[in-house]
Amino acid sequence: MSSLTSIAITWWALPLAAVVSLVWNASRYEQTSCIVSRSARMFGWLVFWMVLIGGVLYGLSYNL
Amino acid sequence: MDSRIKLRHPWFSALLSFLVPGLGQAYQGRLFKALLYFFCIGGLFLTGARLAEWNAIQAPPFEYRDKGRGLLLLKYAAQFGLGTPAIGALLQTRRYLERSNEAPITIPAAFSAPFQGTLSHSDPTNGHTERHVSGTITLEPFEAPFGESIAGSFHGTANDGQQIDIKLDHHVSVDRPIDPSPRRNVHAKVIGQDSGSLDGSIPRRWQDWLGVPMDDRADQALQGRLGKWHELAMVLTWIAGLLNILAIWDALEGPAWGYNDQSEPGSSNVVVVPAARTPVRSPAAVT
Repeated sequence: MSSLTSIAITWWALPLAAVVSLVWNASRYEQTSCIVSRSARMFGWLVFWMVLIGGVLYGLSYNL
Repeated sequence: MDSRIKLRHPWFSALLSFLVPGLGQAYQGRLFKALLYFFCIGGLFLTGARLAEWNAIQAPPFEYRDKGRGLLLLKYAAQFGLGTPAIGALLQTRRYLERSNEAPITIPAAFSAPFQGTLSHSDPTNGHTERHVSGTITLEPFEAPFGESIAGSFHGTANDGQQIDIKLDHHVSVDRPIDPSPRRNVHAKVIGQDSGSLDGSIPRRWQDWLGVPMDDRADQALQGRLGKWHELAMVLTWIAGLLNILAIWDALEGPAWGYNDQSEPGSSNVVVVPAARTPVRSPAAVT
């Protein structure tokens, strides 16, 4: 049950990353297309690093 | 200087963005950003607050808490970027800590409210019986020989469908008016039943529970009930508060980089509207 809760909580990282990307880039640029494209790129990088770090931590804690 | 970015009344707009995410940008006519900030930051905060059962903000002074006051101040500082709920929680804390906020001995006038709770009764033949009841409770001030108190009556139905119509003893106890719980506890003895009692709650007005701080016990109970979701809820509200600082800064100074990623970095490429009212002469006109 607790592992299921952990997985469900982990999914919250996606909308959170999307919001952080949009707000961060909106505070840096004014042009709508620039905000959207920069946010999409930042969101991709955030997810990539989260998956990478999550995978490494999962690997290190395997069978513990 | 990039004339495509127009910041109308920057300080006033920053104040508006502090109060409601994106409101300053809407005032400046930057509608895309206004909507983006409003839905992203506002939505993030409301989601966190909802997950924390609307008990996400604990405002100073932390006289209602015994431990962890320094940490509470840090949490509040992160949420303070989102002005309206943070200031609202400050005001609610003042009301909560007022001396008058205690369980009332009497009430100024009679009132009725929807009630939910249990009616319990003990007697030698049937033993202890307990039934869930719902209906309307009427409370009224009572002038007893030894002082004022609260009396009342209850009309409703039990979970087995039986109609309940009882009078309450004049020692009805009612929870304090301002408390973080949306429901106000009521306890009363039933007249005519030696060991009968009515325990339950009536709704509290939203302005008497929303943003009201929790004491240590209520906070621990909430954390125990929500577990990890409570941590997530708090993180969402902190991030929302911190992100709104970016939105406030954007209303005040414009975008941190420029109009787009082709612009010169760090250039102060905005036009403040009041300053632009004076006609700007081109270099050719000057010469």
